Amino acid sequence: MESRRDVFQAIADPTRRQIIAMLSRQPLNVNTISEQFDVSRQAVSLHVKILAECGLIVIKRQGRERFCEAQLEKLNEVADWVDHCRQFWTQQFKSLDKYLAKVRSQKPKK
Amino acid sequence: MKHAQTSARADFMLTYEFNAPKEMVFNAFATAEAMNEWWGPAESRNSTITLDFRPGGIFHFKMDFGSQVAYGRLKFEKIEPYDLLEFTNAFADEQANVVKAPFDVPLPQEIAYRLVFSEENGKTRILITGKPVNGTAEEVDGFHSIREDMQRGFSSQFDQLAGYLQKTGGRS
Repeated sequence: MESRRDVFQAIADPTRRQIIAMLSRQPLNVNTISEQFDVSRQAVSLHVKILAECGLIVIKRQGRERFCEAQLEKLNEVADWVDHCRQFWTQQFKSLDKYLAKVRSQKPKK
Repeated sequence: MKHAQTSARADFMLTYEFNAPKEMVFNAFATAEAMNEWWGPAESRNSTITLDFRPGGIFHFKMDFGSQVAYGRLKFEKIEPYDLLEFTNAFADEQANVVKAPFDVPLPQEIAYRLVFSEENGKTRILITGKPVNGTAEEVDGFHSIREDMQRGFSSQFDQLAGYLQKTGGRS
């Protein structure tokens, strides 16, 4: 499978979701982010790299430090996905509800 | 607060109540006859190609929009009658291989859903949650290699520690 770099890959991982949540409040440097997690610094760095490649954050160098900043407009794509899901399932469940009513009317209650 | 909004919205969640016992609601997912009656977009004529209602089994279906035909597939993961259902959902080709959405909506390629069924007074509530399916093999490999590096790192640390303890032990 080809490697995908989009918002959905970005949010597929719980650590990355947490990182995004942290960065949506304020830009942070990579060390500060790492301190919040039990996983290794290397693992956090890789998550940060993936988030940057997916366009959800930008990394800005300030002297020796690397600051991560969330790209909130990119996060709207995530909201769009959830909205789409909600529409899809609401419609599916309405249709299922109708089907169940039909089955119930055919099969009188025991 | 931006924070709450973001983390709440990264996953999809919905509850829905049905006026039917949970066995009946659950079974509506289990057969082609039932799925043909209700599954799929309202805009298309939907029909089951195959339905293998077992963990690892696939539900492959066709969506006929008139001018366009699309396919979808569910892959069942966990099936615990009549309480829990887990499956992934994706667009598919005619052979049930996962493909990208055939229309221009930014959607995850594959979504993992978990449906929890609970019954009270003859009514069934489904709590459905959804999230994009985890990263690609390449990414998983990336994290795997980090773990290996760390293990190697630790074991060399332990070697050093063992050596150090041996030396100091010898001295004291």
